[in-house]
Amino acid sequence: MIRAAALGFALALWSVPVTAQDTGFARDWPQTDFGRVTINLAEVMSGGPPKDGIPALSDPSFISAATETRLEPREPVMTYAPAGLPARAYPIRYLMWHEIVNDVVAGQPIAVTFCPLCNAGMIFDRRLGGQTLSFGVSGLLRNSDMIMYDRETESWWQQAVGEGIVGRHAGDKLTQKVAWMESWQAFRAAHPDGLVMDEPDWQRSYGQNPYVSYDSSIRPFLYEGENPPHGIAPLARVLRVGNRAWPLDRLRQAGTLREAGLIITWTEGQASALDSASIGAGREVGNIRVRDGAGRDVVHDIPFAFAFHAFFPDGQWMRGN
Amino acid sequence: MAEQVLSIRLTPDLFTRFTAPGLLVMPAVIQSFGYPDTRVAHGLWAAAFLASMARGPWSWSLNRVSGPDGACAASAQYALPAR
Repeated sequence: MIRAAALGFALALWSVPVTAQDTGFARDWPQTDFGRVTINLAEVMSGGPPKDGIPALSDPSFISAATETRLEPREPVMTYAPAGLPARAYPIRYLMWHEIVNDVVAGQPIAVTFCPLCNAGMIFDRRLGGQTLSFGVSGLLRNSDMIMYDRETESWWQQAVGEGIVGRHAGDKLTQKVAWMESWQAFRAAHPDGLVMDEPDWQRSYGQNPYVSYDSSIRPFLYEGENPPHGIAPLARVLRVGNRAWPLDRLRQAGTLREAGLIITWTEGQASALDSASIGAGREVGNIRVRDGAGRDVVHDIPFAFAFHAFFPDGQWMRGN
Repeated sequence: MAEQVLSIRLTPDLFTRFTAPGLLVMPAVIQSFGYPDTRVAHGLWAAAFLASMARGPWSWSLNRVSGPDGACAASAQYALPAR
């Protein structure tokens, strides 16, 4: 009887949600409304850097792709190519050290984001309910994924899903834009008249990967969730479209795959940014393009398998037969 | 005193942009009030300090770990354990 009561008491304690006061977040984030929280704050951890310790960039400079000579052919860039405008390349060598670039393209504010611990490169529309947000890096992680914050309300945003999780915007969702990660060589060939982000004026080792061999680690950094199912390695890359995930190994073997109304292609030529010390010398991961039946590019990203499993626990694993 | 401290700081290229202006004052003062005939030597010193102020720390400097706002780059990336 006493044992059952003790067990019940322990379970009751376990189920009590952690508050901002418990964690010290309220002290460090006085502008954030901790009355609105959609997650368990106990899942939020410091990745090491303080707020803005990883400095997000705003209004970057661009140069023509034809004049850029510093990038290695195989190193990855985030490509944003809205119709009727010159395509823009955001090199991962800069996003590695800044994680967020607040940009405006033809009057439309966007946030180019990259979480090196999840490999998630995503571009979001910064407009929400008539307001334009600008984003910074909180230094906090949840399931090893970057938590962004907006400077207007200091709400926290989960990068991997583009959702507000704490603060005034808790429960709100950003619109993900069509963008893709490809090699600098592929971008330049496809968009000879395109633009590429110029090197930021910060003292950082641009071109170097501070997380050497991370994508061959056994466990992700500060991740306490369960491993992906089906024996898929936690740090294996997957293609995510909605709540579906295709292991990259399968796409590499297939070359071209027609499935779920999509045409997915894998071509050689892109280096992993999270392998060797030099980003351009990383092992081959390939270029992925995802189009619908009409040939239009489709919103997607290429996260690690653990991140897909953590944020889409009921997601569908597209393993073929 | 300042010339010793600032020189010690500049040798490993530490706090370059803050240190170089301090040292720039020295040849200016010496040139103006001490040895007015040594324009070439003082000019070379001044050029070196001006270059350091303009460019900031060099690639092998201790300042490589700090950003323009003084934030330490060691805390500007996630603290993964050494492998």
